[in-house]
Amino acid sequence: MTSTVSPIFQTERINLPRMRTERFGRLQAEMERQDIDALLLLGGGNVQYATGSVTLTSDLARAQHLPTAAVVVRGETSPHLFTPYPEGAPPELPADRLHPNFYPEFDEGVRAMAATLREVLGTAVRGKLALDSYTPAMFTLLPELLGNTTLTDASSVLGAVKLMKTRDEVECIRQAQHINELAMYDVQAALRPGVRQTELTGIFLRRIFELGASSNVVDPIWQPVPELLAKGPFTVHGDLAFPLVSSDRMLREDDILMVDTGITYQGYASDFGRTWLVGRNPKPSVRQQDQQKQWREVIDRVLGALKPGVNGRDLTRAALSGGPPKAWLKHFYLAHGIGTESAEMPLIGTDLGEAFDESVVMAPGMILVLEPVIWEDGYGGYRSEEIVAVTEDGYELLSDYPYTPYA
Amino acid sequence: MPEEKTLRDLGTGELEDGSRADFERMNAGRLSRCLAEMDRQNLDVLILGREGNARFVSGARRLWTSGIRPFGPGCVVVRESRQVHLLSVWDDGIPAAIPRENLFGLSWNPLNLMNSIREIHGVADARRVGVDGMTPLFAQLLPLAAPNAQLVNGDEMMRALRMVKTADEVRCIATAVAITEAGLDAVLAAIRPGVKERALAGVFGQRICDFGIQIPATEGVFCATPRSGSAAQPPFRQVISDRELAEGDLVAASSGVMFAGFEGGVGRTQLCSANGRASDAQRKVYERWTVLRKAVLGAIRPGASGAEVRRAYVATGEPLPAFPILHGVGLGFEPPMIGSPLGERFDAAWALQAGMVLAFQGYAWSAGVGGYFGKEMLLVTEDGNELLTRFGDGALAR
Repeated sequence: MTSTVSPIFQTERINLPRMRTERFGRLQAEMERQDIDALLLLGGGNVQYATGSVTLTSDLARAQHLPTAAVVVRGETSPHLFTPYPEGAPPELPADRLHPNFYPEFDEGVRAMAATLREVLGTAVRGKLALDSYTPAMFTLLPELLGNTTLTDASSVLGAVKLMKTRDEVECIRQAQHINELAMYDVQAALRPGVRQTELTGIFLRRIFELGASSNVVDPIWQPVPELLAKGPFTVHGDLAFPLVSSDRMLREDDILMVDTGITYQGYASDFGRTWLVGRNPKPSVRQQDQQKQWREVIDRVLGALKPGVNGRDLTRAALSGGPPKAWLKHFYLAHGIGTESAEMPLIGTDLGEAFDESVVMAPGMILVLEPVIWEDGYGGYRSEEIVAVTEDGYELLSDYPYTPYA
Repeated sequence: MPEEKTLRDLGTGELEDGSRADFERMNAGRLSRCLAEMDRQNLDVLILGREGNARFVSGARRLWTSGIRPFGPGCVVVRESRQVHLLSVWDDGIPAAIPRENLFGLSWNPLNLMNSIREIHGVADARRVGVDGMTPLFAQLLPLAAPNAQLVNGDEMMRALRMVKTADEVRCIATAVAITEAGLDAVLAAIRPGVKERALAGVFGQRICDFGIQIPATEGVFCATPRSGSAAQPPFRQVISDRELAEGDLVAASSGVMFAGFEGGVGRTQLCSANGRASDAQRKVYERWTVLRKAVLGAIRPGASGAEVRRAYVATGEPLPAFPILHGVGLGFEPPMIGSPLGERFDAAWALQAGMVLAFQGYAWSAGVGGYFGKEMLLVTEDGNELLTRFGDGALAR
């Protein structure tokens, strides 16, 4: 089954070598600012950011035993890449920066890692080395093996640089979202009664790879929601249980389906969310249509307020003003960032609190995934997502998918 | 030890006569073994961030996401109360043996998360806490929940517990292998000139979804083997690209699936040809791989060390490939890991035991031709080993 919608591939807008150069430059500048002498990165998204290398992390356990890692030394012009997959390294990486992978799950591997680090860090070995993660063996052994090095936290460096995206990064996210959306046309066309959740995933997986996705990164969600919360699973907070893991559960006529998927393209994530109805020619009820309208109004109020200089608390206030008392799920957020990870800073409307929301100030290059949820207990609800990039004077939309069968 | 019927009659549905895997028994048994080991090691609390470990002690089926998440307390086991506590907002996917009051919710605020952990009975007084990972942030925060605790490596204990599989676990793994074979069959049938490597990942993904599961275990290898390179370090591509398969390519196809948290994986190599037959040179690399398989499988029995397996591989004259030739499989990739640059001494420290499930990976390559990559899964038995893979070697074998 192929989609009747033609892909609009604007990959000529993306300059990957420029993206890698600009990202690396930002990392170096932030390391200077925070007086960090070197980074040791194991997180897939962080390694992707620092090096542009392919990182294979679908099998979490394999990714821990055979990791792709990056070392960035202050003042240098290229990162060091330690990888089991040399063919995934960017073409411009100098040969002496491409190394075989570490084995940080084992004591022997950590000892070898420390020896290599001493070589690669040079004088930085007596300074501050920031890490994003420790395996148990690293946690036990690294502090004594690198006795002269001050081990510190890389998340402040990576967090700062990832908050604002370069032009090429924005285009990668747009492209990832586009691929995700195109695949969804084929999935939505398959929503006949009796279709199984895993069947929908099968269509989705086939299509995203035909369209050029790098990988699927989230358990695809095709969740039928009950009209009454009490008919759904127990939750610790009394709000809607979402997202639930898919299985071979059969979908039924008129099921309200909340959908959520995410893929990557060139290391950047997409995040797709819509509410669909199951059936051959489904029509929302008057109430359901009104729920979608309320959702749309939340989005419009938030976007109406969104521009550089406003903060997260301004956005949560805009979401709620004159509207429903509650407009997103208690265990999630009104909005989250996205980049090399599916969910990144900024997180707006979480249990980090209102003071935190207020401290997040919008700036050009920030990406927000807005995901309000309208719920009317006894009558179900509506949830969808839109992705925007903050621009110099407002925002631009990166997502583009119809709201069918809702108006 | 697995009964005769263990490896027949695999499936993913429930049967009323209980002849499939008994998940309740499996979960209860795993937790009980974990608690017994905590007793032995005087470990008061386990804080587990790795999904495989959480799955082992709880049987919980939680959302899969790609990417190594930084360590976070997703699962807590308390020796004194014999309880498992889980980070889960809902009870969907949580086995009935874990009561609702043992669930704590998702939190974006690390301090709130630490409060949830501290409120778990037994954590605040713990003296020895095992963890299976760490971040700089949690190194600072964990003392808020367990101020008197010494943090120790809990992953070593989990590895040892996971290494020998029960009959129920072997059935789950064998089920995952059978599903993988279905996917692999679809991929091999789709290989022809002009097809993009990336499209094969989609073929595999769609076919496995016919079995009520939806998570491929890895990105998969669907790559033409290179025809030029050095024989000393045989070139092998593992990263899928947009490259189109060409006439005469020897295409490595290897992937796996997760079933009930367990991984199955199989790999084969197929000649890509519009209608041609394999050349003698192409058949030769396949035959060399069969020699590797025979040598390695011949060395696998209880008591054998990883070094013996490594020596059996290189004794065939083939160089070690750029990936481990043998590794454990269970709730994902597991130790032992044999044939790596960590060397023969590292391999020698691993002793094979009956009940281990292992993946063998071998590669034979020839300049100008390409290579044959194959992966098998096997169970170590009392007197040797038994293949869990039941899949032909492909057209190159005929």
